[in-house]
Amino acid sequence: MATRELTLSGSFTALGGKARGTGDELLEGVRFVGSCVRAAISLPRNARSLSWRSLFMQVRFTAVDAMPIIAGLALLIGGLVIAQAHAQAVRFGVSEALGQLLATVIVRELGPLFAAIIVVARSGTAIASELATARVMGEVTALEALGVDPIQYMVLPRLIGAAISVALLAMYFDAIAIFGGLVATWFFAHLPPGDYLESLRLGMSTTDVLLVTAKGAMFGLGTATICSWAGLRAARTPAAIPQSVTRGVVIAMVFVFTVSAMFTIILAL
Amino acid sequence: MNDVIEFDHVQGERAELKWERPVSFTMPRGALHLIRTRSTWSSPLLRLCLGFSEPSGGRVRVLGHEPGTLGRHAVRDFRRGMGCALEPDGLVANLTLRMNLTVPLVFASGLTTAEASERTDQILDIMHLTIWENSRPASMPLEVRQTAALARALSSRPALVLLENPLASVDTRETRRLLSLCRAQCESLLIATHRKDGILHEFADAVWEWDDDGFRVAA
Repeated sequence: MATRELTLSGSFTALGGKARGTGDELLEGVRFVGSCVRAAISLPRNARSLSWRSLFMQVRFTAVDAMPIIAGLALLIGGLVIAQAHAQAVRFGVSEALGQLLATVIVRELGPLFAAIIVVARSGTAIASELATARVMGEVTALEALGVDPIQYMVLPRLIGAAISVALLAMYFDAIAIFGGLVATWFFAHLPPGDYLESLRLGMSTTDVLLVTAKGAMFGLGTATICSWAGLRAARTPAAIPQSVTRGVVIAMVFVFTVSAMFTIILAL
Repeated sequence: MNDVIEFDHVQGERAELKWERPVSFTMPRGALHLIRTRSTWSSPLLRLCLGFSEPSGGRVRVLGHEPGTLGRHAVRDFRRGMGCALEPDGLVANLTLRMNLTVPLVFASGLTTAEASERTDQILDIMHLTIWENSRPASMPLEVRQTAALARALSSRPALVLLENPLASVDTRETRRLLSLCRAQCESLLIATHRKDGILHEFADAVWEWDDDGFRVAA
């Protein structure tokens, strides 16, 4: 009995410790976001040209270099969703609604989500590992010792670059997926492209474009913030680098799915 | 206030008490002091000077400030008056040597990109590093990396430079030339090293020995 009580008390202690650890991490994350905002506000005017350069490099890596993989994925998903949906739509006699289905499922939901997942996998891992390596190799300390704010120089261009990139990639994904849907409806449903596009036009509005952009920007900003935070808080041992990457990617994925669900719930209300 | 560094019965970093005997010394403005000690002690000593940590006892004053007590922004401003080359050298791996020198000049010293670039050209030239300007740290030999770290420390013409085991892989003749340059480029220099060779001693105004027996003037 005594052993059981001890085990139970030990479990509660462990649970409490874990909850406290998570609370501390959350607080640390909030402080990091505050530091990023402060760093953005106090960015020296003379440093902007260097920051633009870093921002451009980030957009090139995150958005431009990811375009082929996003195109392939979007084409497949657009085609597959429409092919599957067509089989069901024929049963219920609503084939003409395929365009609207594509607008709802792919344009609003899957486009930003898949763009964000690809960016977490490609750029999130790169951001976390680069910054963790910089921490381990003493680069961050050296910059701090010279009076440089590492957030201003290393983090801000990554955050803004990722926000722009995911917003652009989400729209790019949607455009390619729509094309994939067009090919699939033509092939499977023998629906004339004009009818498909008309159905799509009826199912979409300007608000959708704004929504996709806002979602993409938020996913990008969140992913880069989380992965930067995970990278910069790495302990100064090489073993900390993969740990930081794993932590950053897992939290960023949870963030992306949670925010996506929140958007859907809020818009459904 | 003629002393740029004052250690008054300092007893190690707050987080990790490491020294059995407290450390006291002063370094006047315009001097080059050399502290000969083990690597595990030189890093915490320089970290205290830079305000990365607070002493667990005693008082540290550098350039008229107590660095460990300064706030986040104040400590950054304080560090901007200094140059340093610590171990590891901390050159940013994905930047060329030129950018490694330019970035701190722009972000910390407040120079425009054009002014920073001009100053970078000067320092690359006097340190004989121009041929490496477009190389990244990983492709540079160790002695070039050490010279580059020193160049970065000197580039903002700081009032005080802190060096940890500087130029350990650089040959004697070049070390002598670079130390002469250091003396010309900055006012005061504190070097912490575990080396016992004579070149650093030639340039030092005072040499301190720091081991288990305490902190004292070297024989």
